[in-house]
Amino acid sequence: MASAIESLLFYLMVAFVPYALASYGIMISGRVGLFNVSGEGVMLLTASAAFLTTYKTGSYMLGFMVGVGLGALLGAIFAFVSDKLKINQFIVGLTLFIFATGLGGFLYKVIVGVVLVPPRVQVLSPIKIPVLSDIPIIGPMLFSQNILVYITIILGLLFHYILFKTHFGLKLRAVGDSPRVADVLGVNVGVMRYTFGIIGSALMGLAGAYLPLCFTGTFTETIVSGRGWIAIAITLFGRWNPVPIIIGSLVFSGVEVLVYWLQAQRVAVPYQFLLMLPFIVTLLILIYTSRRLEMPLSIGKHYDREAIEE
Amino acid sequence: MKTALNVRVLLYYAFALLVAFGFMGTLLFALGYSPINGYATFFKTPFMNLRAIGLFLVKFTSLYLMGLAFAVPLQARKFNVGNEGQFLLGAIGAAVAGIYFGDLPSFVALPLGLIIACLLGMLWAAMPAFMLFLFNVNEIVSMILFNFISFYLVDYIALGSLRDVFAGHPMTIPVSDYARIPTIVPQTNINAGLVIAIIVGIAMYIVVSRTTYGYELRAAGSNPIASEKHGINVKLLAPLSLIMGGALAGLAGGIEVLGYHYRLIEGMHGFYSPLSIILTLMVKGNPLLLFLSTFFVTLVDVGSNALQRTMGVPVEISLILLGLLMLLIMIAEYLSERR
Amino acid sequence: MVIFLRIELIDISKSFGDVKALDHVNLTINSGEILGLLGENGAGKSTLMNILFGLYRMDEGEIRIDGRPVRISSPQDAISKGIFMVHQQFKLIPTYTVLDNLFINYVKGTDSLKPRRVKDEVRIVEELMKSLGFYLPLDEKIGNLPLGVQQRVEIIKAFLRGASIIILDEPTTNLTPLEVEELFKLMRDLKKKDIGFVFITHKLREVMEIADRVAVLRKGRLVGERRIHETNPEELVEMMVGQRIENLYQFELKPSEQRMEPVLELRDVLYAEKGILKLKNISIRVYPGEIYGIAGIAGNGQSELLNIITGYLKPSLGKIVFEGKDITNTPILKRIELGIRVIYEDRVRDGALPSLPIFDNSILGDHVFPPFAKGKILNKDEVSARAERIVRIFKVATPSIWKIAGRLSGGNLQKLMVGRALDKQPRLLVAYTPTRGLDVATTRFVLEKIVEVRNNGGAVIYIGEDLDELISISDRIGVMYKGELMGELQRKEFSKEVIGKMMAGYRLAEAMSK
Repeated sequence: MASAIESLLFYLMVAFVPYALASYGIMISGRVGLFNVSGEGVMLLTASAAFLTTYKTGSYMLGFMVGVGLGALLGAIFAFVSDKLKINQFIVGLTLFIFATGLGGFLYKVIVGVVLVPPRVQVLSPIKIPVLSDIPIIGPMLFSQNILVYITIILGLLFHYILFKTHFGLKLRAVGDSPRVADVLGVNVGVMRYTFGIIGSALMGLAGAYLPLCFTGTFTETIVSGRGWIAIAITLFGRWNPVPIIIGSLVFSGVEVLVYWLQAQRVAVPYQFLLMLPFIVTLLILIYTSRRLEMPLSIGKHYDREAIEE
Repeated sequence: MKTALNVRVLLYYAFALLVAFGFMGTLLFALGYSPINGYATFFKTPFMNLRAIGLFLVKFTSLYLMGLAFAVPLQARKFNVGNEGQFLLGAIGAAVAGIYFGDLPSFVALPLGLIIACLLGMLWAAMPAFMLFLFNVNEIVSMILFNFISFYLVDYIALGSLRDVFAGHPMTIPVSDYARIPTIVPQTNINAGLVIAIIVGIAMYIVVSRTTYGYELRAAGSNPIASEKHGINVKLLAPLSLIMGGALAGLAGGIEVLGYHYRLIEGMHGFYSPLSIILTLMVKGNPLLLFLSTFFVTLVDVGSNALQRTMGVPVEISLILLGLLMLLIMIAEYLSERR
Repeated sequence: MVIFLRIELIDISKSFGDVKALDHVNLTINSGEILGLLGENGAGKSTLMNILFGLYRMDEGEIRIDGRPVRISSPQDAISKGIFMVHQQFKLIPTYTVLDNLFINYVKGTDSLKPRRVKDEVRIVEELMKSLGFYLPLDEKIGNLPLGVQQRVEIIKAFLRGASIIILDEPTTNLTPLEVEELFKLMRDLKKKDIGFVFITHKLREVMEIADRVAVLRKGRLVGERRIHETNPEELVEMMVGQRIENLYQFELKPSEQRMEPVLELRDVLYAEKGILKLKNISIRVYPGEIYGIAGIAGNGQSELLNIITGYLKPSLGKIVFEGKDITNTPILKRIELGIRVIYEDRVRDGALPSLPIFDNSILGDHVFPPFAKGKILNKDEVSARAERIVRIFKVATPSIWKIAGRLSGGNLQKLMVGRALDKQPRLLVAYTPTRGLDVATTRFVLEKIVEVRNNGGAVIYIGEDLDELISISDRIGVMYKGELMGELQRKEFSKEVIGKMMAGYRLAEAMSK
């Protein structure tokens, strides 16, 4: 029987995945110059679509694929409208956020309708790694998790390796820091931006699909509850680097765990204020870290090869 | 401010509208609803009777002020996505004032309620504004966080000591009669808030285009560095514009509470935030054209609610429609500038 | 081993919108030779080379290498064919190290996902540096290096990618005379190794000194080609400009009256930023009716000096006195009201409101003062009048004052900026390279207007990069180096050699002896 500490730590790792995946998405998209703020909406849409898919077909794989696919599609639209049509990226992001939020709620209501008992799916079961998962306290937390927890951690390390230890990463970062320099040295800036804009949004889609399929087992309109926006904050103070993002995500899942635990303890504080806690924490961290903000140098800007430099 | 009125541009906009509505009709059809019924309900219901028109105008008032709240800081390239939270804080202020100060005579209670609404809206905008000014915190992220905090705040108050225990949905007891905004057409809910909104809108237009303050806002939005070098205090101006937006959104909340609901209701903000953002972006923040786009978006909002009530179509269709429309308008703009 | 190349540009034409930038230009470029590409600003030289380098696409024409027609549709193509271009604004990322900048996209395909071998990279570069004869600090961030060194990084980059022909676009703009000599020496050494150079410039003297052949472009057309020893500066000017411009740099400077009180005085000004001294011991006096020229390589404190005078920056120590009043702590708008006007070095970044029409641009800085504002209300008629006036007098090419400023060409935008600064006679005008990017006729016009300010009793501080220009209009010249004034010269003492030495760090006394 898992002890209370083990449960909380286990929960910590389960909860950190959506923050981390969404933040990776914003990071990789930003590293090629695309500042995509539509995450909250993308996550809602993919949560809805993935849930409905798995609920109707019984296949988790299919659910995740739908989530990733929709995320990728929205990422392509984002890249296209930002680069080709040269619209301000915040405006594009907000518009897609609105559209995706509407579509997500719409799909669920149309397919499920109004029911007394909301449909559920079984949360994806953990994969136990033999021997290691029996280590007391940290065993279950680290070695007895659903597959996406492992994937998220490995993905973070992979991103770190690619971005900072390979030439490919150098090239990628150059696209976000100075597309003109990258272009002159032969990098296909357009392809890089589209590719990683799509991958970034696909990761946000994966984060959204995770929520019903691995976390709550059901879908409600408030399932994302701000994670998409918090992910932007995590990416900002993680300085667009995967390892600090992992740490930041753990901090936030830690706050989530704390809120959950406090509510269970029936603390004298009204529950509404407990629910505000993650957002207040985010604000405080932003205050502390925004003074020396680091961003990819050319983030948010269009690149036009024929534009005349003065 | 001059706008380029170009036949080609209008054609593209019209085309975008057609495509967006066509998509909506197709969606309705694909889901088994009758598109004809859908369109009819959509366009007719808001004007069906005096009560419906009243509701339409109430929503129009709120959306127009929310649009202004987004449009004014937009001149300085600041995105006041916190107008939702500012609206709710204004509503909180007006409701609490209307209940606690309800014994005061009308000519004190009502303005007091509205002023408190504005002040609380400004306060809610001032916090992220100062975070921007002092600590360089991105205002889009911070304002959305404040929005979330405001939802819980409303919930707390609506279920707190002012709670209306007989209501099925979290809401406060009504405000006193003295604090209510008078109706201008008797036996309807068309209240003087509409008049206030129109006056404020005209005032904002004058401020933005004819005052030195408005000039400095626009200059700061166009080139903050050049503006700073020519004596404009951009660092201070941008946050101030957000606070002004806060006052406008707070006013909207106050008007809706004191003029229509007469109480604080959880969830009263509905889709006001995304709707107001889109209606402003559609006309690039021009305070006069804002009138037209607000009319259109209010129609979409009321129409979608009607569709949900009578035909069971999820109300989210308004967001899908407007999001799609916005994307099409962006494409239309690009095409029209290519010539 | 450098591959010998012969490049032919045949009938190249290109338009930007309805402006024809290049009109059937024919040109040959060979390895082992230095070709000077001469022409005034806007003649099309950079455009032509950008086409060769694959950044722009030509509308018509053909490129042949060694007789075979080739298609160059991206810089990648050009580099693979041995062509490399070093632009006026270096293609370097300031926050990356020299090594990183050199190796961006050096390794391609699946190899690029393998771990990076930094030691090997360092070895390759060190060998290259040895053979070229200079040294670069590979671990240093580019942003911390002086421009002359950055240029060398660009040249090493060219070699790393196997260039046979190197195009240099206005390479001497930000170099001291000594650094220019070093660059020329490098070019001659490399020429012996069969590297070919295309040297784009508008400076005659340089072309005469370094080039073997020179081609002259004027308004997008090739006017002619000469071998250097078969021509002379006068002929080249005529080809560049289309007429004999006598007295290009001669202006009527009214004799200065006897010394009155200085309009502006800087007393022992010191300015430090983030612990770095940007200005030191600056003491200057500028009198009414004179032009005080400031010479020096960009980045030696001129920007800071300008910003201190306008009020955008506050001196760490020292005083600023304007017409007898201490204005050290006076805000920017007040200084504008007192009559201090500025023409900034970067019109797009510092002076213009690109998304707003000319109407709004015409009053930036004056927008709170009468007649343009009564209290807090703008007077639209007066603003229109000023906008119209500027457009008319300074010949800004636009159909109306409602045209969005961002759509104006560089030259027209500059005219707008100059017009705004001069619409009301300034008491003190600070101008930082006001003629950058302007063709000869407009340059002449702007300089005339500035001399007019002087002749009408105003004081002018003219920060320039072209010594000929400075020498022709200044009454006195001060030379800045690393934030300090190396000395001041009176008109009768002007000497390019002396000034050049001061720009490189010699003080007045040292520079004059020898």
